[in-house]
Amino acid sequence: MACSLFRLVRGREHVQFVHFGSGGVVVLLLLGVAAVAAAIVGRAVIVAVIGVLYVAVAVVQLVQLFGRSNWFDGNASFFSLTLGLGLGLVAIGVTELAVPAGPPRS
Amino acid sequence: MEAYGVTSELVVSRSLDSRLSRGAVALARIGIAFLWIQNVGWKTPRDDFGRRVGGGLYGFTKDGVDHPVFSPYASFLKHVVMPHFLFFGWLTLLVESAVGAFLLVGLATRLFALIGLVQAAAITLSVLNTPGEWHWTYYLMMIGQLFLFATAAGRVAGVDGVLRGSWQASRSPLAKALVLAS
Repeated sequence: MACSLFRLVRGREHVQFVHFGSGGVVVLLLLGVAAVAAAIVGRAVIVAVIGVLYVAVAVVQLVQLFGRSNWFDGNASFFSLTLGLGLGLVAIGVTELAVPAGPPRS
Repeated sequence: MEAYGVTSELVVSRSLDSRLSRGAVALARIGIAFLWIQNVGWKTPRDDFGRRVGGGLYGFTKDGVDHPVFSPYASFLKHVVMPHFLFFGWLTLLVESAVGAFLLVGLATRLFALIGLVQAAAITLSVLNTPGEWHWTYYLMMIGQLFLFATAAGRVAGVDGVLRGSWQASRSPLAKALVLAS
């Protein structure tokens, strides 16, 4: 969600570390809210699914780097950002499913 | 009592120092990740990574041939990279994207700090002698990667820190690999 703020500094190259347009903002906000909600309710499966969705967005951006369409109005920096967020969430979700945390110690 | 007070102050001081250090390590990791992410933004396959216009990544690679830093590497660029430029353009885009992505979230951080170090060295060997380049840029790039590796920076406010305990407890080969990579 915080990364969607990069949209506000568009055109200022020294501080715009990730390039994307309105489509990218929508994706980052929606998936960001969903990821936070999944973490709050503690559902590892949902965390992993949101991670996969981020990776899917990254793949779409990668394909569109050399196509006519650009749904997120982004470039390779948006690919890298969403890839990182996605893989991080997938890692957390999958690890939690494979090695569940033990009961809390009293 | 006085001795107890001194000990207590020492504990608070060390705790604050530790929190500041951990915060600085996390900030450095995320900052360096965003530098890689921004740096990959201008690399585009639409113009064959600059080959069609003689600029972009192609231009910087050609600089390594025109202004050699280390002659065997310049020869490698001329005879291997330039003739297969599209392949190496994609390789650069994917490697730099992955370095930015993994460092950003602190996943397999030590491995990607080393990959970033190799990539920073390759960039240095390409453009260090190009007129107008500031040599500190390239030295700092490599030093930053070494710092992230040395501090295992993903263990602070990163996915490595959250999951390393679970990976260590697991018998899975992937988990064991991630323990090494983190």
